[in-house]
Amino acid sequence: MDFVFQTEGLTKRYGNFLALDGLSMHVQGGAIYGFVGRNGAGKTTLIRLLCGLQEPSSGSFTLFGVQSGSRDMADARRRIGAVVETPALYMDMTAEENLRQQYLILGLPSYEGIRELLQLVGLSDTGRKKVRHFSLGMKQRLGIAVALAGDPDFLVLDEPANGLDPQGIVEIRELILKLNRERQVTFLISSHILDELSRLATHYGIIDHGRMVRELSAGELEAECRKCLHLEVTSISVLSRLLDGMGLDYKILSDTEADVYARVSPTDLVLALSAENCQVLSMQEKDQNLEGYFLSLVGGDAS
Amino acid sequence: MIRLMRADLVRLVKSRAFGLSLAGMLALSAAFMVMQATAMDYSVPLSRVIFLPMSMYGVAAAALVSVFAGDDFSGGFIRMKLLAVRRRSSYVLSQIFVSCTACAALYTAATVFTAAIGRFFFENNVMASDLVRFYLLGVSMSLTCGALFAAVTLLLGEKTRAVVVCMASAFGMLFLAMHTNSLLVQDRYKDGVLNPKYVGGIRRMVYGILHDLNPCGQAAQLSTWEVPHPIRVLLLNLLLTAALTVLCCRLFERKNIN
Repeated sequence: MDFVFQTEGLTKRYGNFLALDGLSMHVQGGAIYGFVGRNGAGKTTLIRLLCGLQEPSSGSFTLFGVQSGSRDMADARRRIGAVVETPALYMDMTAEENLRQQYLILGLPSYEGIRELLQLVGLSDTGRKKVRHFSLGMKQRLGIAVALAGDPDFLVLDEPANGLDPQGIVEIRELILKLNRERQVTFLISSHILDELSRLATHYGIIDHGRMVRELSAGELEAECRKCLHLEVTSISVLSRLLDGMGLDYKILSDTEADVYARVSPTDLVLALSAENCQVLSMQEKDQNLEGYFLSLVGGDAS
Repeated sequence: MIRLMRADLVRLVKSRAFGLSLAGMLALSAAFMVMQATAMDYSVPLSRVIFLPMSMYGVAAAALVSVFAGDDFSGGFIRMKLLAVRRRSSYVLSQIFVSCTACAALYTAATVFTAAIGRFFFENNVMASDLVRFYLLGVSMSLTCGALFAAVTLLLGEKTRAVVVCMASAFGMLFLAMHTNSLLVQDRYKDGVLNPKYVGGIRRMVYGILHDLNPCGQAAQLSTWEVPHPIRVLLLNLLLTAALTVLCCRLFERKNIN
């Protein structure tokens, strides 16, 4: 499989605090990878290591196939655009001047494309207004525009929806989807707004206490979160036979538990099982979204 | 590195910090000239005026460099710069280069302004060769200031802390220069008897080196148009600038950036 970024046993320690604990993750080329975790789970630390702002304590990663610590890593990093925590901006400059700075830093031959970038993020009419007078959402959008300068192949966005109003969130979502589809830009997005992330991501990585709890594709997540009837019965073989006979989709979880993925009348099912001498011990309807799934994995409050 | 230098030089020209420092130094120069022209009961020669504003130069340079270089940390642009460079030392070298350029420009502007205006109001006793010699010594002093404050800012990695530490250092250097100057200007004999305040021997040499090493000490020497050891001053400046640059490159290489 073609991975843009993957880590192996990545560890970062600050004194006694273990921010990343042997983290392994895999970001496929062309994916929109949703990076989910509580505050302090290690999301931003991982992004800092990826961007070369900090060095790992142990473990390694590859970026575009280049091993960490290699001399070619600088070239690989030049293919990244990033917004880490807060957008990278000079407050006493205009939006256009900030982009010009980024163009100079990247050594781009001309300022062509700046207007297009400003238009893309909806800031083309800010004129001589200094960034210090921008709203949080405008700064966020300009930060994304700065990260997009130089047409990166891999865009890392740390909480991109921070400070954006609903309209801004929709615009950024559409921008991400457009870049992903039209320019095949790979995204790594960390976000707390799980509902928003679930509208974008093609893959998920769920991190807790510096460890990867689960990596899965959007399809796998959908399968795991499908609306279902969770049954606990005395005989799973009877239940299985009965469901096969009804032509229903189901998944056996243990000797006594199964999930049934279909609209089925609980009364009819209980009566049918009872007729076969199988008792229903419990029955529960499950309807999870990403947030519920995340909480079921890491437990507690999603914040 | 060249790319970062170009970007930062463009930023410097538009920078509010640079504009305010420049305006501050020019205002200070004008104030010193007015004071010298009106408050003294003797005729002040131009040589005693040209470098007089340099007594506050360290403070202005500290404010300028810590704010300008600190903007990279407070605004977060350092992340984009580190993503774009092959080695972190390229970033350090570009920051030190631009900070030195900013300090040299500030120094040059204040000196040229004072010399150009002062020649109309003060007795012109300045020889061109002396002016060039002292001006170049001042340039080396400004390079040291630039390297010192840039290194402090980069190693602290946070604008507010950098401004506080650089300003405190500048005032510390200023008071140290006043102290060493007061010791070194004492004559050996006063009214025909040995001056008890005169410092001689090894102590005089140590104080002399300290005075020459301290940019504010150098400014004090320039302002009195008397630099007893110009070669030593020049060498110390070059050595200090080089040492600070190497040290900053080494320490910054492994620094965690947020």
